[in-house]
This record gives sequence, C-alpha cells and structure tokens, in this order.
Amino acid sequence: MIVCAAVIGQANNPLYLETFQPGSDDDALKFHYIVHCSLDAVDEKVAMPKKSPADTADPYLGMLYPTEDYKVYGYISNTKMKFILVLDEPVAREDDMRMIFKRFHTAYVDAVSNPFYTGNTPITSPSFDASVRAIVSTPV
Amino acid sequence: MDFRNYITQEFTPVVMVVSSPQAEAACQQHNGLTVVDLLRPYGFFHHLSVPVRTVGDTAYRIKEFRLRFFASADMFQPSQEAADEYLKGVVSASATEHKAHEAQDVLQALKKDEVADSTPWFNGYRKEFVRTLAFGEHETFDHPIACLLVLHAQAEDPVADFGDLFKSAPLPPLMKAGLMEHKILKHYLLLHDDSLKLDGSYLKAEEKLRSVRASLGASSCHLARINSGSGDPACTLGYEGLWKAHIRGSIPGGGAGEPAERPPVPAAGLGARLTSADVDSISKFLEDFTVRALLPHLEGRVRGLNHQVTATRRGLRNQIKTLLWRKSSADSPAAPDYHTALSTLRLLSSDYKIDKAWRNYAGVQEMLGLTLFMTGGSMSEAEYSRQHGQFGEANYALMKAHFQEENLRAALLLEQAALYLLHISPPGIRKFAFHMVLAGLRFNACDQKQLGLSAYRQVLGVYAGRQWSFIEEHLHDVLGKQSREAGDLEAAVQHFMAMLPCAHSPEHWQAHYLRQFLEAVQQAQAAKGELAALELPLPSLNLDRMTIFFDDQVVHANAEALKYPEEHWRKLEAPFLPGSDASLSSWLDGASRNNLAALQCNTAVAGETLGVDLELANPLAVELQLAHLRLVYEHESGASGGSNAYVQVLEEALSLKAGARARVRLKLRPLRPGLLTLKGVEWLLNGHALGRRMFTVRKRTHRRSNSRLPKQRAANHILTFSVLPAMPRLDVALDDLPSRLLEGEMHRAPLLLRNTGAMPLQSIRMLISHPDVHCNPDNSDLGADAMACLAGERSRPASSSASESLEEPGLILKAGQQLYAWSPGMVLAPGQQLSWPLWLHPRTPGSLTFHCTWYYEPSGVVEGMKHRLLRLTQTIDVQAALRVTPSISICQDDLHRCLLRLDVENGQATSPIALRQLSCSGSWRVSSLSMEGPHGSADARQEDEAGGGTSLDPQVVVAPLTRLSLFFHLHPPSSATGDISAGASWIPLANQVVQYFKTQGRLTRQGVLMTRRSTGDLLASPPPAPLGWGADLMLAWELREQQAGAAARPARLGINHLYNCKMQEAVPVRMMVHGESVVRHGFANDGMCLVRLVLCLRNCLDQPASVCVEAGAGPGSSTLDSTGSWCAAPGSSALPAHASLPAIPLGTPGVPAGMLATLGSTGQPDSGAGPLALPATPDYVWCGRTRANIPQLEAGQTSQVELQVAVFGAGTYELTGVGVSWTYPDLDNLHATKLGPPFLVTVEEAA
Repeated sequence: MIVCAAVIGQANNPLYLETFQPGSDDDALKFHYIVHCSLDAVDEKVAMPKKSPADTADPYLGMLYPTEDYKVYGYISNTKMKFILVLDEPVAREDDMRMIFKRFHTAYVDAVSNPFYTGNTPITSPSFDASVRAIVSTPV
Repeated sequence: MDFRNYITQEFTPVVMVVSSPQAEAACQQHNGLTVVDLLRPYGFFHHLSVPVRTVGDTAYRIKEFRLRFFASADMFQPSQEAADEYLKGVVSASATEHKAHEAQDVLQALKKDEVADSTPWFNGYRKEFVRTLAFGEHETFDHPIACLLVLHAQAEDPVADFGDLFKSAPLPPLMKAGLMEHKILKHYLLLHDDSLKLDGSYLKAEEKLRSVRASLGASSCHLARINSGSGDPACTLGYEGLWKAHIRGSIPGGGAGEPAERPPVPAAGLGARLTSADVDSISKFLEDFTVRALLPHLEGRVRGLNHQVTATRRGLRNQIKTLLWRKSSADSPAAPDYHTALSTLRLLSSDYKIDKAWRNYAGVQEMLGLTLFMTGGSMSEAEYSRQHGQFGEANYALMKAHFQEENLRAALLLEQAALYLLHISPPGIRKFAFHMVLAGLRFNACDQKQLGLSAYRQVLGVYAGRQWSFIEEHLHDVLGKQSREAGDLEAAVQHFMAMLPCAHSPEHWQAHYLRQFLEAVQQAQAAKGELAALELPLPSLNLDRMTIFFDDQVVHANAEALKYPEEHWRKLEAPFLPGSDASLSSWLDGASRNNLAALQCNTAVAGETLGVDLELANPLAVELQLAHLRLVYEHESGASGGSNAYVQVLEEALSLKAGARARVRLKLRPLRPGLLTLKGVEWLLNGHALGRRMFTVRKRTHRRSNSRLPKQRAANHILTFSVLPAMPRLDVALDDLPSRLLEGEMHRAPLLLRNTGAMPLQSIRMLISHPDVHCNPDNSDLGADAMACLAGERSRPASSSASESLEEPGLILKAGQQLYAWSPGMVLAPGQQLSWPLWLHPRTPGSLTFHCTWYYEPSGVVEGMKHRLLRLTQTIDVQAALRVTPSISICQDDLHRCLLRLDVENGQATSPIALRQLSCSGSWRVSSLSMEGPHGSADARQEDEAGGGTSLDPQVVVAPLTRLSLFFHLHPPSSATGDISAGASWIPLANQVVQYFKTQGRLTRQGVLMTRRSTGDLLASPPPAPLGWGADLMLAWELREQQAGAAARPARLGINHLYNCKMQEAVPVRMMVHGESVVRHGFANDGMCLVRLVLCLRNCLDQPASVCVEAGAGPGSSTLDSTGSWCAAPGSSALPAHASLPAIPLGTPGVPAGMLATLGSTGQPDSGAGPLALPATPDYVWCGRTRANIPQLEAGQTSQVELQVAVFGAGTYELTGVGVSWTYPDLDNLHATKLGPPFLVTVEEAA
C-alpha cells in the first residue's frame, strides 16, 4: 500500500507531500525525511551513464532505496519533476508501479495545466489531491 | 596550502637548542625573544648549492634547506588536556578573527563555481594540532639531528660550561628513553651582549671563541653579537613581523616546541635592540653551521644507515636511523632519494609488522604515505585525495575519521568533509547540508558557538525557501536558540520569526513557537529598546487583493457604486458636465489624461478618509491578536508614523481566530495638502511584536492600461496621493430603503443629503438613472406617511413655508433618466443637511438597480477642483405582487357602457392584498356593477380637477396566491359628470407622483424614447382621449401583512397602472334590442301574436355612418346566420341549468359586484348563449317593416328602428336574424355587416 506520495520540483523543493497512513503526527516528519533522502538516490540514478547512446532515459526509476519499513520508488519527468512514492511493502510487479507513476504524472500535468497555477509553487489544488488519493486507494 | 610545500616546510630537520640562562636572559631581556626565536627566521636557506651523495654513486645538489629550532626544554609532547584546551582557543580565536558567523551562501557560490574553502580555522587548527602531536612516543620526526649549545660570551670557562650545559640539558623523550643515541652533532655558539657596554668585552669574547675553538673544534664554534642597538623605538629594524611569524602560541605547561611563558615584549617591540649587523651575524652563523657541519654530517649518517640497513636487513632499533635517513632524503628535492627511502621504508614496515610493533608500524606507514606522495604514488589519505581532486574519497576518509574523535576535531573534520562534497560533480548539496548540520551539532557540543552558527547558516542557505518545512524549522530553531545564547537577540528574533508560519505543526507547537518568538522580541526590546518593525509572516496578508478606496473628484457613496465602470458613470454624468462627454474628447484630452497616468498619482482631499482594503488570514491554529493595525505612510512634509498634524491614522484592532480570514479596511485621513504615499501596513502582534509589510509598487503593465478593466481599478493600485485642500463633500443616506419591494409598490424613501466636508457647497444637481425612481419637486411632505402623501395632494397648500423646492422639477432625459436641479442659490453649509423624498415604484419583478449621481460645487474657489460628484447605486429585489389583466367587452344592455373585467392574481405567498381603489383617468369613468346609473353612488367619486377621472373602492381582499376576477362598468367619455364625496384615503389621479409614474410607465410600455420633455409638459397636457383611445386605469392596493406588529409599520401601498384598455373587438355600431320579455297572448282568439321590438343603434365612432337594418333574412342568406332556436317547453324550468342566458345576471339590481367575483375561477363565465342542440325551426316570422335605412347616423348618436315579429304559439323564442350593415363614407367606405343581438321573448297563453 502506498503510504506517502510526493512531487518534488526542479530545485528539489517539495511541491506536494502527503501521507496516507492513518497514524500519528510523527508521520509527516518521518516521510519528509524519507523523501528527502530519496532525492540522493534519484540524483544517482539520473547521473548513471547510459548503456548505449541510443538509450532513451526511462522516466521510471524503480526502487530508489529500501528502508526497514518502507520501499521508496521514484519517477522523473522530462522536466525533471520527481515523483516519489513510499510503499510499506514491495510491489509484486514493476509494471504496476510504472502504471501508477504514469497516472500520478498525468494527475500532476492536469493540475499544473490550470492557468491559475504558478509554476514551482506548492500544489494546493484539491482536485489534484483527490486524484492522488484515488491513485493511492486503488493502486492497480 | 599546497601539500607538497607543506611537506617540504614542515618535515624538516630539527636542531635542538640548549642555551645557558645568561644567554637566554641577554636575549630575552632586551628583545623579548628567546634564543630559539632569534634563530628561527634564519633557518631557511634557498641559495645553497651543496653536493650530496647518499646512496649510490651519483651526487646531487641541495639547493634549498630548512631547519627547525626548538629549545630542548620544550621538546616534549604536551598533555592531551592541555593540548585540547589550547586547540579550542586556537579555533575560537581563528573563528572570531575570520568572522565565522558570516557564512557564505553556498548555492550562490556554487552557481558562480567559486566555492571557497572558507575555513581558515581549520587550517589554523591543523597546523597547531600537528604541533601538539610532535615529540610523541613513536614520533621521531621532530627528533633533533643536531644540538646547538648557546652560551653567553661572558661565561668564565666556556669549554667547561658547554659541557655542563649539554649534560644538564633536558633531553627530548626519545633520547631520555634511550631509544636514540646520545651522540648527535653538537655545535657551539657564544652570544655577545653589546648592551652591557663593557669596554673591550667583544675582544674578550673573541678571545674566548678562540679558546673554545681550540678545544672543541674550529668549525663547530661561533660567536654572534647581539643587542648592539640602542633600544630606541625610532631605530628598530622593523623586523617585528619577521619575528612574530615564527612565534607560535604557548601551551599551558609548555611543550610542543614552545615555552610555557613567553618573555615580556619590550616597549620598542620584538627585537628592539637588534641591528642589522646583529642579524647578519646570526644568519651568517647559521649558514656556516648548515653548510659546513650539518649537511656533511647528515650525508655521512644517511650513508652509514643505509649501509647498516642493507647489511642487517632487520632490527628494531633501525627505526630511528631510518627515520633520520629519511629525513635527509625528504629534504632533497631529487626523486631518486624518495625512491630509495621508499624501498627502505617498505622493508621496515614489514619488519615491524612481523614484530607486532604496531605503533612503530603505523609511524612507518605514515612516512611511507608521505614518501609515496612525494614520489607521486597513489594512496587514500584524505589530504592527498583533496590535492588530486578526489573529493569524494576525501569526504569518505574524513567521515570515517571523525567517528572516534572528540567533538571539536570531529566537527572540524565533518565540516571539511561537507565542504569536499561541494567539489564533487555534481555537488552533493543535500549531503553537504547534512554533514554541516552534524558538524554544527558537534561544534555546539564543544562550545564553538560561532562555528556552529556558521555551519547552520550555510545549511540554511541551502534550504531557505525550499519548503522543506521540517528542515527549515529545525535550522531556525537551533539558530534562533544559539543566537539568543550568543546575545544576538535580533538574529534570534529573525530566526524565531521564520518559524512562525508552521501550519503543518500541531497546535501546541505553533503556540510554543509563537511564545518563543514573542519572548525573544521582549528580550530584544528590553536589551535594545524599541525594535524596528519586522516583516512578520503573521497574519498572512494578501497584498494582491488589496484595494484602495479614496474620494477625489468623485465620491462613491457605497461599494456597489464602485462596481460600475467609470464609463458608465461618465455617460450618466454627461448632462452635468457638458464638456466632458466621452464622445467629445479630443486628442488634447487624451494627452493630459496620459500625463496624469504617468504621474501615477491619485487625488485626495484633505480631511477625507482614504482606505485600503486588505485581506488578513491566520494560517495557524492559534488565535492571533492584532492591535494598532494601521497604514504606514509618508507625507511630503516628511511626516510619517502615527497621527500628527498632517495625517490622522485610524488604527484598527482585531483578533483572528484559528484559520480565520478577515477583510479589513484601514483608514487614514490626510489633514493638510501635499503628496502622500501609502507605504505599507503595520501592526502589533499579540501585544509585543511590531510587524510591518510594505506594499510593492507594481508597474502598470501595458495590458492593463488598454484592457477592459475599468480605469478605477488601475487607480486602485496607485499608492501616491496628491492631497488637495479641504473641499465640501456631499454624503447621501437613503435611510428607509428596504432591500425588497413589491412589484408596483409605491415606496417613499427619505433621501438625506448632508455636507460632511469642510466648506459650504452649492448648485446641487441630481440625476436618477431609472424611470421607476422619482423625486418630488419639493420636500414638504416628508413627515407624513406615504399614503397621506399620495392622498393629500389636493388638500395641501400649494407651497408651505418650510419646504424647499427644486428649481427645475425634473427633466426627463433619454432612457428614463431624470435630471433635477436645486436652486443655485441654495448653499449647504458644513454639517447641514437636506432631506428629500424619493419615490420608488418598481414595475417589473426581479431586481431594480438604479444609479443616482449628484453634482455640486464648492461655494468658494478651490484650487484643483471645480466641482465634485457623488455616485450611488442601489439594487432592490422586486417581488411579484399583484398581476392585473384587464379585458373590456361590450355591455349587452347598454349602448354606452362597457363591461370591464379585471383578472387579479396575488403573487404573494403569505400576505393578502386588499384592493382599495380603482381609478379611471381621463374622460372615461368606471362604476361598480351595483350602480344602476352611470353616475355612481356614495363610494365612487368623480375627479373634477385636471385630468378628471373616477375612482371607486372595490372592497376586495385577494388572498395569497389566488386569482379572482372583478367586473365593473366602464363609461365612455361622453357621459355627464357626477358629484362624489371626497374621502381622505383616495389617491388623486392628479397627484404629481402618481402622474409621473403613470406617464413613465406609458412611455416605457410604448417604448417611446422621448427627448427632453419635461414632466411638467406631460402633466399639463394630458393626451386627448379620442373615442378610439382606451381607458387608463389605476388600481391601488395595500399589502395586509399578517405578521405581528405589522400595525407598527405603515401599510405597503402599491399601484398598478393599466394603460389604454380597449374593447377586445372594436364595434363601430353598437346595437341593442328592447322589448317586452314576456308577452301574453290568447292564441285561442288570435293565432298570431305580434311582438314589438325596438332595435337601438349607436354610432361609436367619431364619423357619421349610414346604417341599414334588415330583419328576417332567410336561412338561405349567406350573410345572415339566422339560427333562431326554439325551446319547446314553456317556462324556465325547461331550460338547462348551464344555459345561463346573456345579460340576465349582470346588472341585476341588488347583486353586489363582489359577489360576482368567483374565487379561484379562472374561466370566463359563459357569456354567450349556448345554442340548444335542436334543429333550427323558425317559429316566428319577421313582419312589418323588415328593412330600415338610416342614411346618416351622426357620430355618437343613437337611433331606433322598430321591428315586429309574428309568433304562432306559446313558448320561449330566441329572436335572431336582424342584420345590420354600416358604411362610413368618411372612413374609406368602411363597410361591415353584423348580426344583431338575439332577443329572448316568452309568449304565454293568456288566460
């Protein structure tokens, strides 16, 4: 189950970070930490040299790093927007994760297509939040 | 510092100096320098050329050479505690010196690609740290290779004294322990002190030198002369910097090469009594010493050692020799030596490893590393990596290193590690931040607050504004607390302030942060007095949604008026300002307007309030108290701050509940003319913290200037005002204006105009935009209630003394606008007010929006403003009330009267409506059905004044949401007049207000756009009522509200005007048949009964007609539809109930008109007789004169034609078949034929 979803901007600033675990207040801090740490992993993955020149970069980064309790997955758009999902159990199939990220990305694109949204500011749109929640509650 | 340089500088041979107390005293007393200090600056030789041959056969030349001098007494390692203590001091001193708290902005530096290693304290630390490690147990690096013995030249027996000196000298630990052979190179120096001023003492000294040389060897003894100067500050050499550079800090307890205490510095500075001759003698001595004694000695040693090593290949004690050997080779810049050293060291290391002498092994490894570095080999030492740009590895090495270190060292290492991360490509900013935070924590733990702050600040630079809220919160928290401890209260306040917008934190944290911040503010205030205003993030202000309200030439009386664009008002105000019509503006006007816009300056009037609407929000879950919320301004005179002689500031106070949002209007009143700029807002948060937010002046974008946005909107963002001197100002109050009115209601609202300005005003003019709103020409009837006003028209005297009247009663402009002007002589002094009744009469349900605008002029001359305008917009909901549909039909039993039917529907859901008056204006008259005659009775009256008309009271109450129909008689104009008693509750038709609305209603209904016709004209000449013109009706009603206390309110009165009610079908010639309805005839005697009928004809048009009457046209006639019906059964009982006959119930005396109103019935009562479904069998025959011709029937005239019908049996007959045709020769030969009305006759058998 997805317990945390985050959108991180180009300057590695969080635009959206929501936790979906019915739990205590510490959660927010904990997931802030996890997501923040995962950015290093994202950087590493992005910096990895391509296998061949014709290789197109896959936006899906796969599992960034596992912690004791959580697995962190990442996805990076062409505009270097990072999407991070924290799961409390590993997914059975990578393709599922890929699909979830695709939906997440689409939801983000919808949100920032709002002409009243200013780029690189926290996303406060309730409809984006709702669509993320929908993605989280029905993972596959 | 380049590491290679570092090695060649630091890892140099050491010379132990043993000096006699006399020699020391001579040196220290006058110069503040120990003997060692004296020698050190000259221990560097760079112009040597000494050939050296160590291993192998090739010789090489040493060109540079360094020596280090240490006093033998100080050659021991200080205690760990003392060293740490000392290092702490070094670091804090360095931090203070380099202003560590001014941290660099890492991100900025990264962008510019110039990340500076801005950690001078680290270099200082490292230098000193290495020094404290010197003379360690396994450390042979600082072991002396030579010993310099110094005696005062006055010593009695120098040779013996030199021997004693060496024996009594405190030896370095390794020598003490016996690890090092005592036999080292010795050199002897005699110091001659010139300051003693003894005659011939120098000669004596030279003599002593000779004797010493004789016994100790010529090359190893020297004489140096010092203190030949006068000690006068004016004649010093100025070498103070030179001496100082070689003096290092003293560690308490001494050691590490420095004495525990330094001699006092003489007044003239260090080396006060040294002359250049002295200095030259010292340097010459040292050069001699090095070239003649030291280097050859070293060369021999190295060779010997090498031989030994290669011979024995192992042996624990070899270590020292090897190190000595290495030393010399390290000094030589030639590569082959390093290689030789390397191989020897490798050999050694393996020996140590086998011997498990770990410490020694480590030492050898260290040296191995150094040697490798010099030879360009590879190794993973941090420093080395840094030099080679392998910062990642350096970071790793340092990170590994820091774990077991004490706080300060760990912190320094972490800091370095963090900085290395910046050099990695791409820079590891986040890791850098993390390391820095760790370093900051360690710094704080070891009391290096400044460095801790610096570390945190650098991290803050990385995260500030990135919305990592928890991280920022932590950083600010630590920084704030540390700043507070460090006494930098202002910085603490800044940091605590940055923590305030913490909506993500739980409530108790928010409260805590707020409290913490306020405490810091209080402390800062206590320490420094009043604090400058802070850019407080609480409450959050939305400056984008800021609107400025001000009154310049135009005053908006309410917010609704502001919603309408300037163009709208300009159009309305065009009649006041003939020159300013938008359509008439020329390019000259445009230019001036642009200039004004370029000035970016609004106009305001002294003494009047400016306002800024601001939106405040409390993002926290804690209540916020805002006091002294006010505008910050700057006046031309320089005045600013609170209220003063120039500006009066109105302060607000409010409390914002958790998550609350409020819109506040902040006001300010300029009192004197000048330029005034609004700068921002200021407030006092929770009683302590003074917050301030400046307005940002936005440039007007091109798009805005030509966009559809009203000009007013743009002006609302200009913050500069040109304040004009005091002006009159008209304020309007529409007190009694309800938000809801009924359709057709007549409502009077008192209009209160008041001069609130500082000057008298005059020439008031008013314009009302909507025809449903009207102003009385005078204000005399303000006191009475609406009904009395409407009804009292006739009884009121023409003009009462107290009332004022308009100069012009009201010009009606296009689109129903009305212009009123008060007498120009009427002056409204400041504070004076003017009441005027405003009548509202909404006529369509929905909403009524009307605009009023006033024009007035100051009675004196005011620079900059000739007139002012006041604008007001009101919107009123209009509810459906009474819907009246009239229909008029011909009255069957009279040639003149008509039958008026009113279908009345009450649209109100709760309140019944009482109909109180039906009036018919003009020459038509109305009467109730109960009235027999046309001239009315007690409750109807005839208007005899201008316009005329009749009124009556239908006395009907329409229940909520019901419909009913009323029937009345309507009399055409020609009838005579009658007298009617006047009642107080009648609304006279001639009432000016009623008349106005009636006229306006007609105009709007007809869609007539009339241009500039005064209402007076309309009133004076009511339109003539030709015969063809319908009747204008007015139905007045009253809403009977059923709520309790309704009595307290005046009744709500309404009027519906019905215009031009005409007959549904216009009949030019009306006809009616008279005759006896029951005829008795003895059929037994006479088989035929003759019934006489009279057909009355009336010409209703205003032209003469010729009429032809023809009775009894046969059934075959195409034009006449003779459908005479026959009813078989004599007596009315046979008649079907539904076949109510025409005209029978109507007009029957004794039936009150109200009875006829059938509640809820929507259908029209059967007025036409339903023909019975029997075959038409004419049982009667028209006889006698069946055709009559009336050649000329004058307009409005009546004529009668007698007709006869023969009936042959008893029964009831409907007599039809009279055809009437007419021709109007003057009306284009208008011709028509119509069947006459049927007539019912009952013929009974006479007894």
